[in-house]
Amino acid sequence: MLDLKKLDLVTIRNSLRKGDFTSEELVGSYIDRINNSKKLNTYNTLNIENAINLAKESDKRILKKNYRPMEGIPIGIKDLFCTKGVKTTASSKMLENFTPTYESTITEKLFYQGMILIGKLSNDEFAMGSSNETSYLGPVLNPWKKETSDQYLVPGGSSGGSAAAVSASLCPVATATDTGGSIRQPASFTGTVGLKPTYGRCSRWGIVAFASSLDQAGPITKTVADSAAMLTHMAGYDEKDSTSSTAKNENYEEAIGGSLKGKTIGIPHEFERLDISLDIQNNWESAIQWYKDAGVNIKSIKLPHSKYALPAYYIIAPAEASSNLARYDGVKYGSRVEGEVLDDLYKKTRGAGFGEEVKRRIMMGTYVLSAGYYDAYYLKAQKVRRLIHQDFVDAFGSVDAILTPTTPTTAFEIGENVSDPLKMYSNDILTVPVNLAGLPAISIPSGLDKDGIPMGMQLITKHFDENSLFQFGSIIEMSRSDMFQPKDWWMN
Amino acid sequence: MSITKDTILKISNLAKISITEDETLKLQSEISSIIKWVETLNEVNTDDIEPMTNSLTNSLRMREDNVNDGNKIRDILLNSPTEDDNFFVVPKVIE
Amino acid sequence: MVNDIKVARYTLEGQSGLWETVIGIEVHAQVTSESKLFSGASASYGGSPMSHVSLVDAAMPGMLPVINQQCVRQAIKTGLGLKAQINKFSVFDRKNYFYPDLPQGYQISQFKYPIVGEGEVRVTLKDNSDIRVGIERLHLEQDAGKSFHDIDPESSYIDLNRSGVALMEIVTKPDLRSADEAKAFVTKLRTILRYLETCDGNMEEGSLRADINVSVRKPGDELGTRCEIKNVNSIKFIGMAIDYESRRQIDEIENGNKIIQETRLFDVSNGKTRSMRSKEEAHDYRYFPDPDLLPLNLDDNFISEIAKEIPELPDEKKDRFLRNYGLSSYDADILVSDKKYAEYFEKVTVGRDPKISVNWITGELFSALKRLSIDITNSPVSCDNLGELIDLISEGTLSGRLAKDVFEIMLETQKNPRIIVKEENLSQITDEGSIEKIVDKILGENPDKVSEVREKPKMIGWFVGQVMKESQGKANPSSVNEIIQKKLGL
Ligand SMILES: [Mg+2]
Ligand SMILES: [Zn+2]
Repeated sequence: MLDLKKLDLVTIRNSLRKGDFTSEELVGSYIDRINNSKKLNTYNTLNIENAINLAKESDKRILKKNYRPMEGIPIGIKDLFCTKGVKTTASSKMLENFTPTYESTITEKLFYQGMILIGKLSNDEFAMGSSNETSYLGPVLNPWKKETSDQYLVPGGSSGGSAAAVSASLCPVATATDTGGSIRQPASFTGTVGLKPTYGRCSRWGIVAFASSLDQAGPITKTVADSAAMLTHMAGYDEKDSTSSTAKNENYEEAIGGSLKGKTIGIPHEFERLDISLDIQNNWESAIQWYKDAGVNIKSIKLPHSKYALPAYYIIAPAEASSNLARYDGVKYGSRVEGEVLDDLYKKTRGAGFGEEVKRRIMMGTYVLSAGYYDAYYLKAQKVRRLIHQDFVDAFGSVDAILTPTTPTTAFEIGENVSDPLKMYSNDILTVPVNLAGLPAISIPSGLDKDGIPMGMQLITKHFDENSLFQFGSIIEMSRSDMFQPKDWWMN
Repeated sequence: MSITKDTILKISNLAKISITEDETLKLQSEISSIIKWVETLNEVNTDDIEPMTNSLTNSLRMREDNVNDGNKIRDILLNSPTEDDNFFVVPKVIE
Repeated sequence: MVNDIKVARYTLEGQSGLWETVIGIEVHAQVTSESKLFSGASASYGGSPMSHVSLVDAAMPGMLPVINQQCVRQAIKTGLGLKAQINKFSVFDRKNYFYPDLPQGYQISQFKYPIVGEGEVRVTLKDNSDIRVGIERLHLEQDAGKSFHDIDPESSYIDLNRSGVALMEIVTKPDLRSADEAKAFVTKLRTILRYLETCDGNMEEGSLRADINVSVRKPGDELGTRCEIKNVNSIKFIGMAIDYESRRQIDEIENGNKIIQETRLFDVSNGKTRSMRSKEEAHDYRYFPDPDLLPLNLDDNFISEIAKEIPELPDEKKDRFLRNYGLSSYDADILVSDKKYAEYFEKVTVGRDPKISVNWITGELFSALKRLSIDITNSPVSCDNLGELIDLISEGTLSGRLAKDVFEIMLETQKNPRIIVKEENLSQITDEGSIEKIVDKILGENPDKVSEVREKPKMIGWFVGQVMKESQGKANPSSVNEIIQKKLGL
């Protein structure tokens, strides 16, 4: 059995090519570990047989030295990406038996480069949530536990399954999506690296939509280098997505390294007022020091409208979602509850098929778009959005990157916030402004809090400047002292 | 602004989601407090500010007029809960 | 310009006096394109159920719309043809409602920022007067699928072949005042769309459907409450629906009732409109910009390239026909009502008298084509052959009567008229000697009529007829007339 905890993507890639182990061995080891980690509830669907067969194919290619860039490397896919012939549920009862006949652009690209689908990872239902507690298949557990308590923690959300699986070494890397922090927040909660690329960088085609103007796919990985390697193969123009950018792509791995001397990082000090825990504030100070040590200038900046990002987001995202989820009506695919008349069928199907949080957001979104309220809520939020965006544009006039914590607190207990939507929403207070502005951002494990739980720092750069994210990000990776490896308490 | 029970019922009808009496009351209080919270946006002066619906600024890209899709009846119907003769089927609609 | 509110152009009589009907029309015209507005599935009519459906049209999870450039071009072209403002900035919105023929749960349409703004259509009425109908806007939107309610007693069946096909919604101002005006407008609009080749105007296949907004008022009053009659799919029905609806509204008001703003359906079986109760539940479409699509920004170059493709349109063609050919307005209207008629005419009339050409085309040719249900493009009588037939008349080879016989043979055989004349020995008898012989014969056989005609000179027509008959129509009628007069000493 391989020690998967030591294996990141870059290491696996090299080892496979050198013949240290085979893809079949590797896939077998992951399947074994997954089978022993059922308690975490990370995977909705496994793809074992196919994965083993594909691994054998990859081994043949590697032997013949005609391997593809990501040959034989297993990957977990958030259950929001449509995968041809493999059930895609969005962790919703509504789609519990939905099997796409098509492959999302992102998974298509990754599989084309030789990656192997090991299974579909849990998430908050339709990506709506910040704790992975809204999945109809039950909550995902965070592989991290407090040293002082036996309570289970949430892995964050909505990409909680992806973050927990990478953290627990149940796959070396995973895909995820981020609408208001759904990649970065769970990455921060689980000690993994979560990248939200620039809006338009990765195709949305074939990803179950939550809020179209905000949704963006990205990877969750163990290292910054892995994140760069993944983006290299996920990014790219897609003619099937009208919001896909034609911006130039590069080999992002090559960006890492090189001196940052003379570059400037911006610190929005007003964020300190946003109820950020003391441990995280201190960790933020440490991170600032690491940059100073690397010769980076530190500049105080203002993002005066960012405090309004959360309420703006909770108008815009539900509004788009209320429309995006109208297609789940029991007629063409998905769950259906019969009704006497059509209206009954619709209402019963959607009443039974959607969970509580999804219904709440659809209702909220329907309300803010409805006659008489559109201007007061939806239009107002879109105007505030422009001001938030403009704050960033102004800030990037004088800094190369912005550094903030990813979340105001570390992972909380399962059940702790479910009864209070507003408290749950406040988790995303530091990540949401980035989505509204369409900027790229990354969360990097930066320390452990007093309970031994991971904290993460968020870096934000200009549109389409992911290269700088990786460059600046590696400083944190090199400077931090903690190890980000949870203990295997959940194993059988 | 506080939301009435009638508004919740109107919205659930627009959204085509059946809700129980208990859910109605719960949603009424939750959505009221969310609405109250988002109204903090009123603190922001947005006079003369254009709404921003997307962070991308380029124009809509257009595709060539080619027929390169369709003829995939099996794919369209594979996940269909009820289907007959290649049609989707719903309870009778009276116009 | 007759659009004066003070003077009603057209009124209906009620118990309480005169009423004026005010009509605005929303036309849904299917854009002529190969593929759909936002998907690569075929936009063509028909096809077995679900065969023209892509994953996008069926609203599968994660599917995204990509706009068809041709549809945008067609909308602009139509806008230019309607002398309308082209908006360089337009936005696609979602119109949200649940219906089984609407797989996404929303229709992608344009609400606040349509691609085309205000324009105008000149419409000539039966009495030859012109009215101007203002165009409010034109926008692009998706068509819905089709529901079948008669396959099964308990269920409706849904086919998505139409789902996502591009439509242009063309909205008029409330500038129409009668069923005839509305019919003339839709006819004219269809002609323009066909000239532009942006919509085939085929109403039987649903390529052109009209929603008609009807209200009534006392002349000079404010606008009354309107009712919208949905999806009327023939010009005849448009007229019937308006006639019924305006009369219904007048009766309602005169009986002391109020008009309720509602959607109504025209029932073809009884010529009446009725309330569509099922669609009457409070609609709140929650329009908002489609976040899957960015705003459409058009540059001047793109628009001016399309402007170059605009053909001569019916109004300009009519003006030219009046100017260059000296046609009557009536004749010109008929010819320009279809680009193919005008083309046919212009080929026939080269070097020939325009009036004679029009008469042959709108007379013999049109009635023959109608009788045989043949389109002019497949006419058995080619424009060259019709031209030669006209030549044979003006050369004196054929009388009008003979020409009609030749025309019938042309219809059947598609032959050149000169060949027919030769083969059938049909040319007119013009030499006086031969005509005299026949005249002598007829006069000789009818001595009683000869004495009668001296009293009643109008009877000469009877002799001419007999001579023509005897000559099997080949005698030149004016020579016959002359010779008879001479012989009878009249
Ligand atoms: Mg309409
Ligand atoms: Zn329409």
